[in-house]
Amino acid sequence: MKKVTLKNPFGGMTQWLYQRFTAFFMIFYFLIIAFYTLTEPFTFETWNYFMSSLTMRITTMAFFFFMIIHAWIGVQHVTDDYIKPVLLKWSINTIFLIITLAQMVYLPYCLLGHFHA
Amino acid sequence: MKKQQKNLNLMTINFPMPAIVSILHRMSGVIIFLLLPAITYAFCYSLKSKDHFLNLISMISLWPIKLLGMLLVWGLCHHFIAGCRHLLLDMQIGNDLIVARFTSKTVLTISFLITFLVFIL
Repeated sequence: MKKVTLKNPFGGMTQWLYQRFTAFFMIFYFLIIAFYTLTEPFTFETWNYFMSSLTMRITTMAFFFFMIIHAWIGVQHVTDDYIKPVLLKWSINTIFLIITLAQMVYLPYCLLGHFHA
Repeated sequence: MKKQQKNLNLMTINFPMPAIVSILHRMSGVIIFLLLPAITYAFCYSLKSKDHFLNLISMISLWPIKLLGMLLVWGLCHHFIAGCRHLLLDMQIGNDLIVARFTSKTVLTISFLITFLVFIL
């Protein structure tokens, strides 16, 4: 039995761990957001004020980063299971990778820049 | 060697409740992934200015977008709750057949209930 499975950064065991870790983070983030939106009136002022704090910007950035990792691993498993022709699978994976990477570039641009308050 | 018999006729296979939750977890994940660009764009759009925010709110009340939004709300709810169940199963909680069936039914009902509540509001 191999015991060094976690040393491969893209191995199955590591992916499994990434999925769980990101899931835990996202649960807490969603609980914060749900608590906030249910207790405060949802208007632009409160929303903008809430999201403008540095803590929330960094947390949101981390949230989207983790979500994209989570989504990427998940989608790869789905295409691996259902799309058998290798070329088709890899082209679809590449398109999805481009979409996720484009979001990774777009998000810091809007989140860490100045909001037009 | 004798070839293994397979029955993959979707009409005759009996899907237990946990299997349905599992496949819906996967499907909702794919739905969320496909709508992710729209989510990120709407998120950034809502923070641009008050006009943008109100514009977005009025856009959401259009029925095609509202339908898509409801699909997204259901997908998020189901993925969230089924994911929590999955994490509990990983921790050896609720692994018994009876408990697993009960929690899978609970997951389905709660996600539909929340979607219905959001639809009313």
